[in-house]
Amino acid sequence: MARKVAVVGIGMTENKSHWDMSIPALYRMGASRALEDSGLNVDDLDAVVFGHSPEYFEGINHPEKWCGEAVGAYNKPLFRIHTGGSVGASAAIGAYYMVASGKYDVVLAISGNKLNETSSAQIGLSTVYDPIMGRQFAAGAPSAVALQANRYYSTHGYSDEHGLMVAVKNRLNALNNPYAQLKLPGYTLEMARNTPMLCYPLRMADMCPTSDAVCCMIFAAEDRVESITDNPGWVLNAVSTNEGVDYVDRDWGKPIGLRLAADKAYERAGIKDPRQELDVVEVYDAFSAQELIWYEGLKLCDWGEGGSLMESGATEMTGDIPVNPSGGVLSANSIGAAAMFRLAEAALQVMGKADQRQVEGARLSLGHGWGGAIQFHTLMLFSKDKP
Amino acid sequence: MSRVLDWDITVSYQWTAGAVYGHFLGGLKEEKIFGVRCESCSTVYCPPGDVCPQCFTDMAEQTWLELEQEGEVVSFTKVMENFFGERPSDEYLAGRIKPTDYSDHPLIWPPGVPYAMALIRMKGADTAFLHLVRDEEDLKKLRIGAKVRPVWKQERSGYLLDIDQFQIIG
Repeated sequence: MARKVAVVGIGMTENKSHWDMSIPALYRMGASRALEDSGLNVDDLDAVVFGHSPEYFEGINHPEKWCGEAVGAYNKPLFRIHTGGSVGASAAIGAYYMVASGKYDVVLAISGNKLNETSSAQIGLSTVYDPIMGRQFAAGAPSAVALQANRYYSTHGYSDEHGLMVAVKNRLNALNNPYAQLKLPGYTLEMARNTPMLCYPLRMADMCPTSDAVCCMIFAAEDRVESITDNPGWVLNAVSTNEGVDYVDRDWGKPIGLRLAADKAYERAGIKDPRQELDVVEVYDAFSAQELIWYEGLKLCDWGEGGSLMESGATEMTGDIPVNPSGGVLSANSIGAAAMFRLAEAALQVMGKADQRQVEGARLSLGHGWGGAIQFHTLMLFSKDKP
Repeated sequence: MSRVLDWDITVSYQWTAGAVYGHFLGGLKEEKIFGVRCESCSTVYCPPGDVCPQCFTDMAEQTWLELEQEGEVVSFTKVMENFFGERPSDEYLAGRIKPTDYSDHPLIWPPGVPYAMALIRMKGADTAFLHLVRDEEDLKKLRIGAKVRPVWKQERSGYLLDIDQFQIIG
């Protein structure tokens, strides 16, 4: 029987160019902020799960070798997890499993990248494509997601306007998040429309910035939680699915893997109507159109209704199911930390610690990570109430 | 004082195509497009892969089919800028001792934009693969559902780009 587990500390660095800090220094900042938040000491940690995205980004192989001590793992178990963009969520899930298993009581999960240290993150992302079939004309992550967006828009009669609505919503939300990078006061749909088309149907406004950042979450077992904090973020459950790259009827605009993960997460938590029951959701919106597609995968609406859900205003801060109060990945993308930010932001909401971006009275929240070829999906559900 | 250190890494790799990709690539050399059928679930894969994702079958042992040279565009993107105009930031370049020249980077392909990267399902196949549409007139006509055919290069070496591009035929 798995133990109950809660998030007892969260540490975030700002998403920006951290030219004054080495990679280990940035990791240390994330870890020390989480320790400070929890009131724990580095000696209280039983193990560390380390996340970092492809080595190609920084040209540093096996970065956990360099950063182990910086994340509090000196003379402790240290495991690295890597699942592309979803790595931060996978690292968090790994730490959660370790505590739930009964083997470790307090485990720190940390994930990050310094994307500004490469001359081209998109060349790195192009090497994610199949080397034999497709890398020849890859244009980084945007070209893959543009195929997904085009498929989605055309199947359901939407246009790039729907993606741009997401772009505007999240950029305005980011104004409330001190850790976000892209802050565009007074951003309008008109301004978004006027950005250059880079990879049809995606414009500059539909894309995420390049960030350096680390995010950190500390997970503790039930019998330790009370002595650490008065407002933990209880983990209801975590689910991960790998959809695969190539199979019959694969529709890039219809995330079957995400739906499988969501069904499992909701079933385990006894959630029957996610739109009604969830108070706030953080999704991995690396590109604007993806948020609409993830709405559908997460059952916030039916298949094909993501664009209409956006139009209805339901996912705005003032709506009944706010999505990405933090500004999302569209406002801050280090890749390595981006998925953990989604989970950490969702946890902060039920802990009542999301400050300016707090959704009033949030008791149940969901964080989502995406990685690979529209392929890896990771979810974690958080509750203010002990399960 | 904060310092930034510069380093360029150039390494070469050879990727083994193996029996399955190898069969497909060998076909391209002879102006043929092959699909491979999983005998366990009857799915015809083009592109081929080493394993049937649905039933974990070893695809090296399955049946090859020569496909008709006609496909349908499942989705596409028009790439307007190589890497979306991404160039290192001024801040990045200012810190460099030796600025990087990307003009001959092997991943900068094709040399000219715009081009379209299209997901193409060949007639008789159940899956789709990525390739190019880049003729100026074709780019104007490109839509999801368009019918396309491969345009072969004169010199072929058993490589995905033995197909120069796909041409719209309907």
